[in-house]
Amino acid sequence: MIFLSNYIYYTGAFGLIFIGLYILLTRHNLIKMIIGLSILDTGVNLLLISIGYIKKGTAPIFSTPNLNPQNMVDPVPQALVLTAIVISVAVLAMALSLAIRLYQHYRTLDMRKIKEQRW
Amino acid sequence: MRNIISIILLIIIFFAVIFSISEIPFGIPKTKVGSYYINKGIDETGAVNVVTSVVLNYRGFDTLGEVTILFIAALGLGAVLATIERKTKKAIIPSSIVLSTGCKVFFPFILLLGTYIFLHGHLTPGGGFQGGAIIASGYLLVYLGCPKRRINQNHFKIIESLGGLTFVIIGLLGLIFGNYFLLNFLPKGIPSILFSAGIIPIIYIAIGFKVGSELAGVIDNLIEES
Amino acid sequence: MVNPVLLIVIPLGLAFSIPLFGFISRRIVKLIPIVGMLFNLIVSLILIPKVLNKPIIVSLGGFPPPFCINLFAGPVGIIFSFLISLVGLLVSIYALDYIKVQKNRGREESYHMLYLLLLTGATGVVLTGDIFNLFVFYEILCISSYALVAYLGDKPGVESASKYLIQGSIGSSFVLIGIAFLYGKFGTLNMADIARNINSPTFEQVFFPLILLITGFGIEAAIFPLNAWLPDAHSSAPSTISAILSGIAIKIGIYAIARMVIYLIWSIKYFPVSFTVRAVDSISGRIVCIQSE
Repeated sequence: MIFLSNYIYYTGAFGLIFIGLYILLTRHNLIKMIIGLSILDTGVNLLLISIGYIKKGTAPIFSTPNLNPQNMVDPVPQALVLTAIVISVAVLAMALSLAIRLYQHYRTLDMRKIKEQRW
Repeated sequence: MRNIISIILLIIIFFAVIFSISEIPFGIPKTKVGSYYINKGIDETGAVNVVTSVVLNYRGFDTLGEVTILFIAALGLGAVLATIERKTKKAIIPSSIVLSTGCKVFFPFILLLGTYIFLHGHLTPGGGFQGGAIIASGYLLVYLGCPKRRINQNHFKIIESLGGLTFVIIGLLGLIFGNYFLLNFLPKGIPSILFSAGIIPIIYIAIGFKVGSELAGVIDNLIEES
Repeated sequence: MVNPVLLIVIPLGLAFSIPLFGFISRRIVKLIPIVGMLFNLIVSLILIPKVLNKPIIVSLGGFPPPFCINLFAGPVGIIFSFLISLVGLLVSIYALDYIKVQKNRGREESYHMLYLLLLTGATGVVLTGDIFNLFVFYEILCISSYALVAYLGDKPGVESASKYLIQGSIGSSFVLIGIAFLYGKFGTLNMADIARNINSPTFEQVFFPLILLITGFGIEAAIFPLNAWLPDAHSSAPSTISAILSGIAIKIGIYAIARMVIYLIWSIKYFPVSFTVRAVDSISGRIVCIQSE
């Protein structure tokens, strides 16, 4: 219980990652797989942000010129997550366009039936 | 069967994760580059928002890569969806006059909000990517509410290319004037005024236009399909 | 002396400007990848004698190295970029005739843009000195290859591309989790800084991020249990892309694994991991190959 109260953010992030991995491993519909991919990416972004947190810290913006720099959270993970969110949007757009073309050719989105290639 | 095997695998990984995540304490400052950026950020770059100065000045090369990735996604989407020939044209049902007028009235205000956000990227939370996404949602509203309107795709392509080229050319100008790529070579001015922080507002304006037109082009391609 | 940044930036600028050239005339568009790769070839040849003496470290942004991104142009990096530009130049000369004029003109431009951006991503991976920058350029490479495998739009191409995409993006998520662990442990993202401090934490604390990084990069590098996407993608892509995929994209995955294991973790002398990975891969690859004959 003490472990959970300290590390609640990490637990939440890894919970999302594991839900996303479970969906990717056990579902056959392509749209459900894409939703699982999106949940996995969300969990990874949450993990990255929560590594940079400092207790009782505020946003790193000097809105009035004499704010105390000791109380601010780390700005580097926020920059990393900006890039990671854009990357996951790009992959999602590519995956959706491939799903549209696949439905046009095969008339079904069940990955067990789309097996014309070897694997 | 597949469910049970996957759950067992995930439980094994879960224990490995628990073992190694307890090594990283939560809520304790653990970086040395972070405190350098917060303490010296305003003097060296002139931007009041420390995250913007990290994204565009200290780690500007990552932002160039990110802009490229969005460009590739819009391009790949256009290339994959481009050769579907339409055999029958579906009838487009016109929407009611209240809906179409309401969407047209909201559109300039959404554009204004998006422009405000990417223009003030160095003073308030926000920036080019966030403002571009808001602009694209304005276009989505008009596409959904007034179904007969379309925009010429060539205009989007020109704005995209010009936005990307502006970013690269500003970096090369830094190389020519100061011997470092992406050097902040314009005067930094007084902090917390709109025209300050050197090249940062110019790059964010270019990124805002580019991301807005890219996402609007993606929406246009996908709506053509349905 | 030429700045190694130009090896990445000039092909990127040319790729951004292809639509503007496309409005002028359509025949110029085919020649732009050739111009870009020729420039890269010449610059790499000029830089090879200089980096054999002493590696060049370029900082981007004008700040001292741990506080900004830096490029590390050593002998391995410049020789790799020379090879990438040579292969890219030869394949793009072949593609002058192979990619024929399509009915709607947007698609032919997209091929040349995606091709040039794939080679830019590969050059960026070998020249960088920062972990997150390596991840960003690795993603440029991967997303361009997803789009290029599905370029022809026919049945086998789209099916292989969708399977490749799902597996590849799981791999890159694993890489990002590994980077998050390394940042939480060491506090910096610069590879030289991490390599200097690698002895201070114990080995068990670095073991899990190492496994995640090897698995994540290994999906693209086609290590044995993770290469289910490879046979389909090679057979259903256009032939120029099949050549680039096996010649460049997979080798960049192996280069990234080698960089993580050797450069980052070498000081604690964890030899057996890389040996067992390569041994298992080569032996079992041959067994499966014989069995599916």
